[in-house]
Amino acid sequence: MSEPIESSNSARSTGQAARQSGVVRLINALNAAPADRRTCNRIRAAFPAMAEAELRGERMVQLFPTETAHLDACEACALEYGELVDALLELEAATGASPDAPVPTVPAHMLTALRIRRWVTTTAQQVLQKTLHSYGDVEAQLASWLEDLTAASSGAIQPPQPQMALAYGGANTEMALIQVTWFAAQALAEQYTVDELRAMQARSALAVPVRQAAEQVAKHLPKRQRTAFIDTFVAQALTDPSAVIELGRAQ
Amino acid sequence: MTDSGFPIDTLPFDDVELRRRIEAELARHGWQLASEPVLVGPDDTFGSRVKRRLFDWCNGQRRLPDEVLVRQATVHEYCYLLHAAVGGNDGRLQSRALDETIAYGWPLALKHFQDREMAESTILRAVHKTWLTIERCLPGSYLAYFAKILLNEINQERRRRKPIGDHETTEAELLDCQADESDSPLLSVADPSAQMAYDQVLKRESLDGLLKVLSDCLKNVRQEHIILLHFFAEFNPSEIAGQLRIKVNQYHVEKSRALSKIRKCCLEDVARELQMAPSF
Repeated sequence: MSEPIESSNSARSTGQAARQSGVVRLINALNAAPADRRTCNRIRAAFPAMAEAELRGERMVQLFPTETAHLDACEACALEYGELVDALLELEAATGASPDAPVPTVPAHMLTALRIRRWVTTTAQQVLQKTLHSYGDVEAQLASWLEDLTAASSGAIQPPQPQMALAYGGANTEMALIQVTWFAAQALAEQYTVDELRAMQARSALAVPVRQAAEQVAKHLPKRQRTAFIDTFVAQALTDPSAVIELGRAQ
Repeated sequence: MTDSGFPIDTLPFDDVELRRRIEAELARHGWQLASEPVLVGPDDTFGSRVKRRLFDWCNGQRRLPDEVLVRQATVHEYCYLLHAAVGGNDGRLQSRALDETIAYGWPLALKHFQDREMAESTILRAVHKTWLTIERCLPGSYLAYFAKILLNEINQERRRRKPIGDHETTEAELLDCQADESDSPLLSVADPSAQMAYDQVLKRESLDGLLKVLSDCLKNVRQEHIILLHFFAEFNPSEIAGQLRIKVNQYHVEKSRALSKIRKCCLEDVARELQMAPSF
C-alpha cells in the first residue's frame, strides 16, 4: 500500500488546485490501507458534527478532510455515516407531522435518576473517602455502571433492586459502595415528596428517612462496612438538607 | 446563493421577519426552551443568538441566508439549549429537554419498529445514553448526536431480534442497493442537474483519458458520476445523492463498489491517467 500523497503547492490556478486535490484524494482512496478500529471510533465520534455541517451546505472535503478521506477508504464507516445523514433528512421531513402513535415521555424512574445523579456522585465520594483508603473516579464509575444498566435493561434505569448492588459490584468494594449510595438516594427520592422532606426538615427530623434509606440498602454490604456507610451517608446528607429535599418527588 | 459583497453585516430581512421565521421553526418542532432565561442568559435572546450564527455561517460560506439556513441556524442554536438543559442540574429543564429529544426522534423509532413498545423502550434507552454521555457531544450537534445513538440502539435491537454478523449487515445493504438498481436503469441519471454538474466538471477539467478508463471499468454511469463529482467537484454526499435521487447510504455503497472495482480492475490505468494531469 502506498503512503498518502500530500498536495503540492505548485498549482497555478484554482481549477488546477481542485483537480490536483481530486487526483490526490482519488489515489489515496484507491491505495488506502484498511483502517484500525481506533481510527474508526475516532472518525465515528465526529459523525454528528459532520452530518450537521453537511446538511447546512458546508464543503465536507474542506471542513473534514481527514474524515472524508476515511469514508473513502472504510465502507463500514461510510455506511454508518450515510445512515445517519439519511435519518436526519427523514427526521427533518417528519417534523411537524403528527406521529402514528403518541410520543412517550421521560418515565418516572428516569426522572428520579436525573434528580439524584449529581447528589449521589458527591455523596459517594464522601462515603468512599471515609470508608476506603484510596478510590478512583466516582463520576466515571457511576456513569459506566448506569450505561451498562441501560444496555442490559429494556427501558431506562430499572426500579431499585438492592441485591443488584452486590451482584454488579461483586468483589469491587468501591463499586458496591457507589451502588448502595445510589439505591439509598433512589429510595429517598421515590418514597418522599419535596414537601414531605421539607416538613421533616422543619421538625428537625430529616435524619430519620435518610437513615432508614441507608439502613435499607446497607444490609447488602459486608458487615464491616455497614455502620461506616450509614453514618457517612447520613452525615453527608445533613450537611446540605436543601439538597436532600430537592431529591424528593414534585408530588 | 453566493455573492461577492462579503463579509456581510446586514441580513436581507429585518429583525421582525427573522423573529417570525425563528418562531415558526420553534413552533414546527413544538420547542419551548427558547424563552428560558437560565439557558439563554440574562443579557441575550435566542433570536440574537440565531442572528449571530447566521452571520457566522453566511460569511464563512460566502452565501446569503435563505429560509433553509434560518431554520438550520434555529435548530443549531436550539441544540445548545437542549445540551445545556440535559447536562445541567435543573430537573424541570432536564425533563423538558429530554421530552423534546424523544419527540424529535420518535418518527425514526416508529419507522423501524411496528411494535410500539419496542419503539418506546429503544428510544428511552437512546435518550438515557444521551444523558449519560452528554459530555461527549458537541452542543451544536446535540440532535445529530442523539440520532446517532438512536440508530445504534435501533440496529442493536434489530440484531438482538434477528442475530446477524457484521458482514451480513453489509451484504444486506448491498442487496437493498441491487434491488433498487433493478428499478432504475444504470445507463442514465435521474436528475438533469446531476448531468449538468457532471458536464461542468468535464468542461473544466481535462479528464477524457480517466473517464474512458472509468467508463470501461465501471460500466455504470451512476458510479462514474459519483467518482467524478465527489473527487473532482468536491460535492457533498447528500448533494450527489440528491441529484441521483438515491439515499445517502446508497451513495456510499455505490462509491465503495466503484472504488473496489477500480482497485481490482484498472488501478494502474487510473493511476497512470491521474499522473498525466499537468498539475500533478
